[in-house]
Amino acid sequence: MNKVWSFLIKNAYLILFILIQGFCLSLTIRHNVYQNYVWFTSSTYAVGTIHDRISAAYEYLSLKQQNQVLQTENAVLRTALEEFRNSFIYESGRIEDTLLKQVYTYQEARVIHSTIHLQNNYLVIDKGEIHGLKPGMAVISPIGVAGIIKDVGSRYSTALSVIHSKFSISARPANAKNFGSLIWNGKNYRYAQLIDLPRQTRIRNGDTVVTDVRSLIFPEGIGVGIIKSYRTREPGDFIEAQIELFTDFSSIHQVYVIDFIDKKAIEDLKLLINEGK
Amino acid sequence: MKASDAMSWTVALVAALVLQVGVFDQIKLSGYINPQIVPALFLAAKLFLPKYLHLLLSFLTGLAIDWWYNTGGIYASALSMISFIPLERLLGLLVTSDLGIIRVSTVGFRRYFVYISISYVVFFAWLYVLDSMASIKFLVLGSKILYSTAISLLIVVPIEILLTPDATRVGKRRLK
Repeated sequence: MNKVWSFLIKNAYLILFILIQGFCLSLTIRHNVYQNYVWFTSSTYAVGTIHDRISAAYEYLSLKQQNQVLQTENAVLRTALEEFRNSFIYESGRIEDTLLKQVYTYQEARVIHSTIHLQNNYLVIDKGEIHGLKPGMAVISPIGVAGIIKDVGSRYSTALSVIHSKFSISARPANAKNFGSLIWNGKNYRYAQLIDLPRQTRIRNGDTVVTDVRSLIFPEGIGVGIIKSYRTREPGDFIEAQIELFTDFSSIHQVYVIDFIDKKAIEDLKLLINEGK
Repeated sequence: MKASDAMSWTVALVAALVLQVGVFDQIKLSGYINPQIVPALFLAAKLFLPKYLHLLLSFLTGLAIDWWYNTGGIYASALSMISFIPLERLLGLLVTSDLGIIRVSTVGFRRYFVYISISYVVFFAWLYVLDSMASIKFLVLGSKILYSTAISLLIVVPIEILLTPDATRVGKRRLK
């Protein structure tokens, strides 16, 4: 209290001046129509701007939370889309083996570590066994293919990323039926290679490459990248294409882990066929 | 504070107010340039009156002018502004004036002129900023301040010199 009192006494002249100026300003604003108008329009603008800034700051601080909510919502939507797609396909009578049952489930996850400069690059994600992850599940980013789950811990998992020398899945140009193998030659993390495409495949630079269901890992039609160039490999039976990947592994953060529910059943059938041979 | 100085300053203030509202208010060059002589009286008394009294008197006088002009608190604000800003200290007048009225005879013509010119610029700047509430263009504001200051000084400075018989001699001595 003494400090406040001594501060007031010490600055009494300044305080008196400020009070006088405040009083004069209020008289001026109240007394003159023009000043009144300018003051209230300016103060409304200023208050509005301050509210906007505060609101923007709050929104910025809650981005992480909002992002988490959106990811969860995305996973739910993708699952619902899958259900819808299957029921639609069944009704149109094109594929019978779905039996109106959901084929894939989606689960959101976060990449907590990744590499891009090695020959064998990995992703470490923040979901593990307790979240239902198993080796062999597909990992996609919001814009394209990202990798395949390799090792699963209780809470964390590692995934082979597309830019791993042992990564290989079936893929095809979106507007063609022929498929090839998507691999990485270890040179540039932005480019993968689509090899073993049959010579008769209709292919053009700029075409989108998508996943093929034969891989039994990824759902059909997940984006991989865009064809930048291609050439017929000697002796001339197959085409090899350079693919610019949709997923930028230098900034990958959000991913979805996809479980192909019928994978085991299909693999068992394939095993029976092989044993029958 | 000498009683005779206080008396003569009070008489001068009343006369200035009468002149202001009776004569100078009728002068409106270009529609807005209106000479002001009351600020000169308060500028002269900066070292002569105690600062609290000076601030309150300038505020009350400004309020009276505002009441007369019907302008809210614009003059009161501008007069209390020049009362508050210690321009006399910035110009080194405190050490030479010996706590008297700031006049040509006490500080010399050059110092007096610089002091009163800068003070008038501050006065008119604040007056027009409050009057226009920042919506005016910078060049227009600058020209209004400069013309108003010039026309006010054209009236105030000759009066001050006329009331100082030995002004020329004092000014020359101070300039040396």
